[in-house]
This record gives sequence, C-alpha cells and structure tokens, in this order.
Amino acid sequence: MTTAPFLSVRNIDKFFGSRAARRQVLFDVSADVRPGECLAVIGGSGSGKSTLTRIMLGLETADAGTVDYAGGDVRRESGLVFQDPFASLDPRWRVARSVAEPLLIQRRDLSRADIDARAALALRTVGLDPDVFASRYPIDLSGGQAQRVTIARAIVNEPKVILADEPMSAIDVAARIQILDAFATIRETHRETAIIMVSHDLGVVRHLADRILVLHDGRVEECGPTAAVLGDPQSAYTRRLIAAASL
Amino acid sequence: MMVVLRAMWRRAEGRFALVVLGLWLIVAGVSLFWTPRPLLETDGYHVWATPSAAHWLGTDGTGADVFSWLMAGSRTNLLIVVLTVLVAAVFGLLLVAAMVARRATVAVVSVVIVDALISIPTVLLALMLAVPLGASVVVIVVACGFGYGLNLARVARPAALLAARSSYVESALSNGASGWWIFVRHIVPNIVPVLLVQLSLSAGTSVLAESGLTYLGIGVPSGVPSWGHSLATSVKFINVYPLTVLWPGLIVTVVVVALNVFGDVLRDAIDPLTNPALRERSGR
Repeated sequence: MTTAPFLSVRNIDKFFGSRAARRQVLFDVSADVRPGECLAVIGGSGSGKSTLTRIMLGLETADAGTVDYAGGDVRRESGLVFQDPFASLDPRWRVARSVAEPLLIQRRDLSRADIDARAALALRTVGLDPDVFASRYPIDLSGGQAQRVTIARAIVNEPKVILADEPMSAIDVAARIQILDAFATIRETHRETAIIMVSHDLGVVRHLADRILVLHDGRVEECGPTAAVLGDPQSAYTRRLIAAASL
Repeated sequence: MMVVLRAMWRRAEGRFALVVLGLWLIVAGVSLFWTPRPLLETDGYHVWATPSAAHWLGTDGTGADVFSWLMAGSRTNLLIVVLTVLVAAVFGLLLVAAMVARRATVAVVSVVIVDALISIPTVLLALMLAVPLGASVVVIVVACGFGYGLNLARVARPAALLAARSSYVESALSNGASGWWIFVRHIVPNIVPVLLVQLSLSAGTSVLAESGLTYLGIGVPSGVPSWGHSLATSVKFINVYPLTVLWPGLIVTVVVVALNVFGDVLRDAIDPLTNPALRERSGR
C-alpha cells in the first residue's frame, strides 16, 4: 500500500475512571489507515484495542492527541460490526429494515425502491438471498447469518471505513468461513473501503489483514505488514502472542 | 390487525377480555342514543325494586332504573380510562426519554425527580386538584395520569436503557440518527411489551380510582352517571338493598380483571418475538 493515509491518530492518550480510580489505557498511540487496506489491531484482553479503534472512528474522545480524517464526519462515513450480532440488530426490526437503516437516516433523497434495492444488493454481497432473509427477524437467524446481516448494514451506505470489533469471536467455527468470505467479497467489491479489524484470531488476521498493529497494555508494540509481523516479529510480546495462538 | 386478534382469541383469557371490553364499547356507544329508561325518570312507587321486565336490574332509592344508569355510566368510565391512559402514556414516555438521555445530568436529575414524585399518593394529588377544580373528571384524569405516568416511567426505564445502550443504537447514532429517531424507532418499540402491561394495569386502576374518588366527593360530579357514582349513592343502603351495590361492584370487578388480562394477552399477540404468526408474514 503506497497510498497516503486518510485516517490518522497521533499521540493518543486515554484515561478511564475518575480521581483515585483513574487509570490510563492508551499511551501515546499513533496509527494510520489507508484507503482499501485492512488493518488488524491485535493484543491481549485489556490492551486497548477496542478503545483505540473507537477513538479512530470518533465513537469515543481521546484525552490527548489528534484524530485526522480526510473527509467530513468519520462516524457518518463508517460502518460498524460488533462482536455479538444479536445485540447489534434491533430484535423488533426485520432484516431489510435493519440493513437499510443507514440509508434511511442519511439518504433522504433516495426513493423507497432505491433503498430496498441497495439493501438487497448489500445482502447479496454478504451471501444472503434477500428474497429469503429480508423479511426475517433476527430471532429467526443463525449467529453467522445475523453477523452477515450486520456486515451488510455496515456496507450499505458505501462507507470509507468499516470497524469490525471481534466479528467472529461469538460465531461458531462452522459459520466463521461465511464471515471470512463476506469480508473477502467486500475487499473485492469495495476496493476503496478500509477495514479496521480488532481480533484475537491470528488465523483470521493472516487471511484478511494487510497490516497489523500490535497493542500491549495500551502501547504500540509493533506495526507493519502482516507477513512481516507474523513471520518475523520484532517484539517479544508479539512472539508470545503468535506462540499462544499456535497452541 | 387480524393476526393479532386471532392470537388473542386463541387464549381463553383473551376471549374473556375481548368479549368484556367489546361489550363495554358497544354499551357505551349505544348509551349515547338509547337507554331502557330516561336517566332522570324516577318512580316513587317502585323504589328499591327487584329486577323485573320493566327494570332489568331493579331501581335505586329514588326509583331510577339501575341498568340505565350503569349503561350511561359506562361511557363516562370509558372516557376516563381512555384519557387517563393517554395522559399516563404521554407523560410516562416523556419521562422515559429524559431518564435514558445520553446527557448524564438530564438522566440522573430526571431519575431523582421521578423517585421523589412517585412518593406522592394519587389521592392526595386529587384532593389538591379538587380545591381549585371541584369534583370533576379532569381531577381523576390528571391525578391518575400523573401517578400512573410516573409508575410507567419507573417500570419501563430498564428496558429503555437496554435499548438505548445497545449496539444497534450505537450504529444508528454513528450513522447520524437523531435522538428523536432513536427514541421513536428503537426505544419505544422495544418497551412496548412493558408499556402495554403497565398501561392496562393503569386502565384497570383508573376504573377503581374513579369509584374511590367519586365516593370521596372529588371524582365525577353529582348527577353525572358513572359506575363510581352508582356505587357511591347506593353503598349507604347496602343493608337495606344489597343488589344496587352488587351490580356496579360486579361490573367494576369484571372490567378491571378484563383490562388487566387484556394487557398481558395483547403484549404476547402484538410482539413478533412472542407471536410467530407475525414473523411469518412477509413484509419489510
């Protein structure tokens, strides 16, 4: 990737709690995201992965440092995929409506037919037949299907960046391949859309990511191309992570 | 609509509630145009009369026809229930919106205010309102609507918070959804089950409150037919002629039970999570 980054964070500090309970969770963290790339953020539990990515997309504010986005409001030009797909879908909304919601909110200029057509296309992109799934409620979906619906919602408004926070950790092993396929298809069909993926699963990271940023206790341990970080890790912590993943 | 009604009708308690409340609506409607006897007609020769072809439920101490007064009272009680539920729903939903506001100070202050106001008894509030307003339907509606709205907000808050802090709301907010969008499209639909049960309980309680407040002289004004009025004017003579107390008491009891059951059955029938027939319908 040689294109210039469109999303950068510099010298980010973040604290949680107040007074005596105040603790720092991010220390002077900097990172870049380039158009069309998949950046994986890995690290142990409590290392600050989710906090950093949420700050990058404007979902949380940093206590120090800057977030630079070459565009308008990064939140409005992003799509979110969370860990638990069933908690990510309104249980009383049909699939078609959930997928179409970003368009219903942002694209008042579109007709109902256009919105339905775009929602159907997003469902097809993630491998779900809209004729079968559009009228279903989340309660009638499997975990893998529900997660693909949330991915369809994340891409329906052609976002510049997708944040996928542990998108496979609540999915059974058999359904993970469907999620991987969905992301692979998105990378082919949405070449300008960047993906920031938080994950513990180094197999998924190896399969999807162009670059890896390793966080350890709120500090950047190392950052580089996937093959380099996984093939020739420079930090002892990354080596331990890779060794633990291969157990 | 028909899917919901069919689901309610399948259950015995649903049939009971639909029949009772349906009859109430019909009787209240018919009473606008017709009652077996004119309300102001009294028969001094037939006071405390037992049920007969001329007076289906007998007469009271003035010789007025009990059935006609109960029939006419049904429309007053229906009006009170509808208005009370409306006031409670609007007031309660406004409070819920404040209690789950993303601005923490608004949420915390509104929770404290609701906790403080909920300690004011409805009867005390009605007594205070009766000072400037006198005995009136407005006193019942405002006092009960206020009290039940507070209860509604307190009970609905956990479900509303769950929706307000959910990932799907966070997604919508990041897409630029307004607070109004989130409240109307995500929070309210997800607290409908709680709302229905709470509002049906409020409806039943407002029927009881009408009787109590009218008995105290601060509810429905004298001369206006209502079930509470029929109870209040006859309860003094329960030893002389118990039947005139029995009829309005029986109607109040049956209607309150029907209202309470109605909320439970409607909640299950109207929610796609509990009624598979709603999910099977195609549509977006």
